[in-house]
Amino acid sequence: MFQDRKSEVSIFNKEFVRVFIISLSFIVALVGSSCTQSSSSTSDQQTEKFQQSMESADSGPVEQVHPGKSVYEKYCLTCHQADGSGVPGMYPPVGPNEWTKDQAKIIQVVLNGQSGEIEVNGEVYNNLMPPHNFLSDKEVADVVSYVRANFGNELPPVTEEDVAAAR
Amino acid sequence: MVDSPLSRRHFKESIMRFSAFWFFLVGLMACNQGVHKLDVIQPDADNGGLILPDGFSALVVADTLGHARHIQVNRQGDIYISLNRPKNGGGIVCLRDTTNDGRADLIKYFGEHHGTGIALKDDYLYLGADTLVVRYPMIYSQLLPHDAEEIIVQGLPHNSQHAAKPLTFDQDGNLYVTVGAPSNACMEQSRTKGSPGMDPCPLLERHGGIWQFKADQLNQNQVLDGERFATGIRHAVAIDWNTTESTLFAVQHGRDQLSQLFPDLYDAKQNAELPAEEFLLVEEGSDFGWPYCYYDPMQQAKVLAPEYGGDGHTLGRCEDKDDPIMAFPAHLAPNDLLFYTGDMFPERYKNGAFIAFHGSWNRAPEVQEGYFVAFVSFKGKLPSGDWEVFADGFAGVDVVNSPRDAAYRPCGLAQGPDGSLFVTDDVQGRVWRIMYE
Ligand code: HEC
Repeated sequence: MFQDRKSEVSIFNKEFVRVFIISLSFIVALVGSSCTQSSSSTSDQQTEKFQQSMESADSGPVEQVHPGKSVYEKYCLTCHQADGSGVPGMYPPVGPNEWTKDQAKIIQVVLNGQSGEIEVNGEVYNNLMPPHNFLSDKEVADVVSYVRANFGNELPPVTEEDVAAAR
Repeated sequence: MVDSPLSRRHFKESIMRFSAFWFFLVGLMACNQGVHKLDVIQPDADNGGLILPDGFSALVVADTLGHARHIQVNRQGDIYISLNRPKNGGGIVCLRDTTNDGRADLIKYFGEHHGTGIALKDDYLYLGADTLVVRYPMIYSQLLPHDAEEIIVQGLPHNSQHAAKPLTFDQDGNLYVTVGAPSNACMEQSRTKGSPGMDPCPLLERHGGIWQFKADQLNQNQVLDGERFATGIRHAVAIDWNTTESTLFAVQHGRDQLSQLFPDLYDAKQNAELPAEEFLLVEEGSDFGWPYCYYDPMQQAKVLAPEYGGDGHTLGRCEDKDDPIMAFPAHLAPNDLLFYTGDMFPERYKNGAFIAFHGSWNRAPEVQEGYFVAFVSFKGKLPSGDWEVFADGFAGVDVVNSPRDAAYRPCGLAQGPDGSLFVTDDVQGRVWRIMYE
């Protein structure tokens, strides 16, 4: 209970900061583009500039990239897909389920792989996931934390120590 | 075999079936001048969501059948579909249209085995389950087969990857069964970065090829009775015997993950384009090179796989492997092949090949492709033109980022008695019937 409330609060805070900063840069961009209007810029150019500033607002230093994202993209995305939805009948989704929510289980799956019949969200899979024990403790902790914070999951991160203990 | 009581019963039954067949034939000739079926069967206004060439239309025959894989249609127009997972207590779903509007209104689930391969031959319905091939006698005019199951082949290896056992028959009483490789490229450690390939690959003894059996002999064993007809085929879910040319053809699911397993040699873009899905003309003794080789459509050559020391260019031992007759884009997952012999479609389709592509998963981070049915025209044993998309729109979205975005995925093909083309989908279990004019 307590943990749930805490994570809700921190999400609210993060979301609030994000919205605030995006709207701030929005205003800055608008002001900026109206200042440069004296130079004969067409409306097309203006929209382009506007979009550019929007983009930089989005991907600016504000949104810190999760360190597990690149690990996921390099080692997991091919099977579990960019949106974590997996491949029907082949690769299970990594959204909320028995494995992702159980910290010990998801660390085990990543380290040792998984084979044989399993049921995930009512769908049966009988395939093979190779072990990923060649990843460092930090990489495993990062990627597990990344999965547990994305694809509909809202679960606390795991630490390098958790991974080291599970090896 | 002739002495078993079961066979005697079959003999009686088949005499009855035989005479019934003649009555049927006479009846058919008598009313041949009657209503043309297509005057009655109206396509769906939206062609069941499909996008088709001019003059073609489609209707949804049935929906939500389960994981519908391969499909057969018999002379009376009854439809038999294999299921990947049992549903309502059956691994085969049998459909009949009793009102002649093209839509199935009688739907029955049957049989204790499930799988992908399904084929009709000489009044038997054969099913390729994951570890065996069984058959059931058909009973004249009845939708459901008799449940007196006979085992044709048993003890096929159980694969957790590429488990499907598709089937086809030649005209000389032989049965062909694909046994896929339970592997990506025969790595020592499956799908593990940098792991070398086993050399020779021991899987090839019982996997990674097409085996020939007798269509009518019971209880055959893969090693003792089967013949490894062709090898070096990673997995060919799409196989069909071309009756006009008396030749076996297959389309292979090529290997995956070049860039994830060998990031120093391949980037994500190359992974999305390599290797080609190969259209194979399969002769006795053919060797298409898996796992040692893959086909690079840009270099138009079989190149040595990185698991076996390849660098993306070296051909090495692949120089004498058999080449495909056509290269399709990578990872599209060809799941069925059908040589069209009907009279309904325009002349250029006659004896050409339809291929149901299931659509890719291994192009990520690039967008996924290939959720369509393609067509290749043929002259004799070889294609006479490039491939083209025949039926599209299965995915229901413009861009498929991951396979779960696709509403439907084509999986099986069959030709109806009037020359209509049937297509199954294994996501929701929809069946379309595609007609001309
Ligand atoms: C080669 C494909 C492949 C790769 C790469 C892969 N997985 Fe898996 N994963 C699978 C398969 C297949 C299963 C189910 C295995 C089975 O059927 O028993 C699975 C199961 C899982 C599960 C448990 C079930 C679920 O859906 O929650 C988790 C969690 C998971 N994988 C996370 C990961 C993470 C994290 C990575 C990257 C470090 C990764 N996987 C890389 C194929 C893969």
